[in-house]
Amino acid sequence: MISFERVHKSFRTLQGRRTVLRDATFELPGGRNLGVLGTNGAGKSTLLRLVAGTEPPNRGRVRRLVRVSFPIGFAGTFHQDLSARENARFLARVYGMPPGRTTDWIADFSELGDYFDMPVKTYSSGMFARLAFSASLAFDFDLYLIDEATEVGDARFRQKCVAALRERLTHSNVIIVSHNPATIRTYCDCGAVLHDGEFHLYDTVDDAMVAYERILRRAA
Amino acid sequence: MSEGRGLAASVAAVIAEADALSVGDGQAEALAVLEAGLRRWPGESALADRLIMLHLARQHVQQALDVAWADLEANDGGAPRWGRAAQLASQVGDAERALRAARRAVVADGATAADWSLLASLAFRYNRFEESERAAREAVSRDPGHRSARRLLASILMRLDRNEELVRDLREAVATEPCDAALRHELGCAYAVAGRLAEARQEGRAALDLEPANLDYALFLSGISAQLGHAEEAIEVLRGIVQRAPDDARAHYSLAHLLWGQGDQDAAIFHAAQAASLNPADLGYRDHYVALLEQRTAAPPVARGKASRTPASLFETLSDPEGEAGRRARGRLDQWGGIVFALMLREMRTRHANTRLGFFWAIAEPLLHLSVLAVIFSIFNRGHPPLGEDWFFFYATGVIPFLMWSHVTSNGFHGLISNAMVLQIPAISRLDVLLANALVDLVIAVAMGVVMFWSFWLAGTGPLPRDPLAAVEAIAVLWLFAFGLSVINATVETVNGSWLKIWPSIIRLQYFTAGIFYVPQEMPYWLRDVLVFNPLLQCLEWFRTAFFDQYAPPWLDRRYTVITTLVVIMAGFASEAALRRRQVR
Repeated sequence: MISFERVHKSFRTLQGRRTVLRDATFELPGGRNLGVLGTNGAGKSTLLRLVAGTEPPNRGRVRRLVRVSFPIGFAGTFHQDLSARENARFLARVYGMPPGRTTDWIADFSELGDYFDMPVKTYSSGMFARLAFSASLAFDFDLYLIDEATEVGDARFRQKCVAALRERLTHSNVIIVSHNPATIRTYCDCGAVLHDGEFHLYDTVDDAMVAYERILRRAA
Repeated sequence: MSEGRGLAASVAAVIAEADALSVGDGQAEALAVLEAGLRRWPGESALADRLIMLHLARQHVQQALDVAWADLEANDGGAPRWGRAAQLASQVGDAERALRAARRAVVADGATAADWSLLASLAFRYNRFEESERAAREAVSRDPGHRSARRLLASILMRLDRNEELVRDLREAVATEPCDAALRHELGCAYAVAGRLAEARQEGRAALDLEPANLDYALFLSGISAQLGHAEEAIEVLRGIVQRAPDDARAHYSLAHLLWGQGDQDAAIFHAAQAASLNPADLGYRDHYVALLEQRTAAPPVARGKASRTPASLFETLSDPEGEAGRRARGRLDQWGGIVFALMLREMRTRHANTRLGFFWAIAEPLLHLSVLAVIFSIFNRGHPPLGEDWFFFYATGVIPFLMWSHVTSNGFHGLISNAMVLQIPAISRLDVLLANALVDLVIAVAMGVVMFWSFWLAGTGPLPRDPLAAVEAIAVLWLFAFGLSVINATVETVNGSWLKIWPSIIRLQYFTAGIFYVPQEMPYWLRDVLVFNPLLQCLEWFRTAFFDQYAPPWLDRRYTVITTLVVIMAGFASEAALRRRQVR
């Protein structure tokens, strides 16, 4: 599905060079949902961008044979001067979907009403998040990427999002990056731990949690 | 009589003085006054009481005890005074005096159940269990409702392993006060210690029913129930208390233990995790959690992975009309075309999004630009233009392709900046954005060119191209050249952020070196020999040949221009690929 071949990724910070992956070779299992655990600053988000291909590795290569989503709930793709409808149409064109039906779906799911035809810059942060989540769920990706916070809007809308995502996962897969074990347990059937440039895959979420707990202990 | 009154009056005076002093900061002076009073009238209890109070207020327990003791040696003080002395002595850890005082208290006049209870507790503390038991029984017999005496008696009996007696005592107590949850809980504990688990469970249940929110009662009852093999009841009790007090790690921990025993591994792990997270400092809870995780047998996948689509969908799934096979058949090129087209539309829509007329400005802006240039230069140039009949027309043949070139080369990188977020969409690459920008500028330039030359023709100031194919070729090659430069510019700018400040001056220089306002014929030959190597100049000349059929400049080398353009494009792609590989954010 997705394979990393001797991938090295590091970047400079004010505290010196930080290594996310050190010549890592692994294959993300196809047909399974993966939860990635890691302490703050271990580079979980960077790993997701490597998977998505929006960030290049320093060395090595990442092969992906599936349609990868942009991070779920990611609001950055929206142009502030365009309306939600125009933004949605843009995404539909990018993913080769019928623009009319796609925009209708997003309008329906996001429940933005008349605001759907207003420029996105007039939105409150809650409306913005609704739009972002709806747009992510509208498309039928093979692999969804979720980065931490998927908490959107009121409880009812959140439940709707969870239900929709669960349904997508009956024929797609997901990679979730989080340090909330509950989130990972909800969606994933295998786990991985990213720590200090090393990436370890585990066959079950439990094994990953045990390994993660050991790392936390060693750090304490 | 008179002496007694005088003494009392003096004592009262001393006390009044001490009180007045101790209200302010003069506690030390008040002490001195009272001590002097005591030296003068030894054994005067009123003075001693004041002095004890003052010592206690200053937390001087030992001194208070000494004063009290001296006073008791002088006068037989009665039960309350002896009791006070016993308490003071036990506070400073003086076992001997404490017991002595407590024993005196119970034989003194007016001794109450409380005094007996005090003796019992002191004796218990100093390990004189028989004396303690006797005293406690005396206290209970004097006041059957004396709760602390009862509890003390229970502790003594438990300590002495006389469980049957303890049970009997507690049952009597419960019989008198059946609604005392603490007593019933203790009776339950007594039964449990005596090994009578069924009765223990009954009393535990009674205690919890009386105080349903008491965590200790719940833990006790669930423990006994579990021992008796009633795991369901134990789990139910704990579930209830977890609901009432969700923040207590002990209940979660016990519940996890029981659930694991019942085989409900998921729920057990959930509660073990709760306990561990509620009390992260306690490694015991975390060890338990990890141990359960490690023992969990092959956890079934929560989500189903790749499976057939569920027939009843809550949310309609959007997929292409042709389905999976159709998507494959459409091919990568088509998909990529869709992406670039989407980016182009977005670019056209947003480039002038802040102005009311939007797309109109995309064409009007270069038109205005051209008009201003033409007016200025026509003031300086008189007579016939080097080609054709009209100065305006001549400029247009140079400026329109030139503006396209300059827009394509400089807009690409700005497009990358304003579309930085779009690049977070995995399907979109930098090259897509650069290409879309270049295409937008091509479309604008072509639209503008058609409008302009059509107008010239309508106005009769210029011809339509005699060789339209040459015009198309020239524009195509020029656009490719510009696109290659745009990619290179974007790379250079990404590596070195000041390049785009320099590039506009290079464009301005090209106004004069690319042959816009005059043909290369008019240049000095030494300069011309150098400048004709500029592909931009070559393309402008190429474009002019389409309009002026008699124009066939000897320096126009189409083959050279095409090859150079291809080299530039290749260099652009190579630089982009190199950047992708070594880009460090």
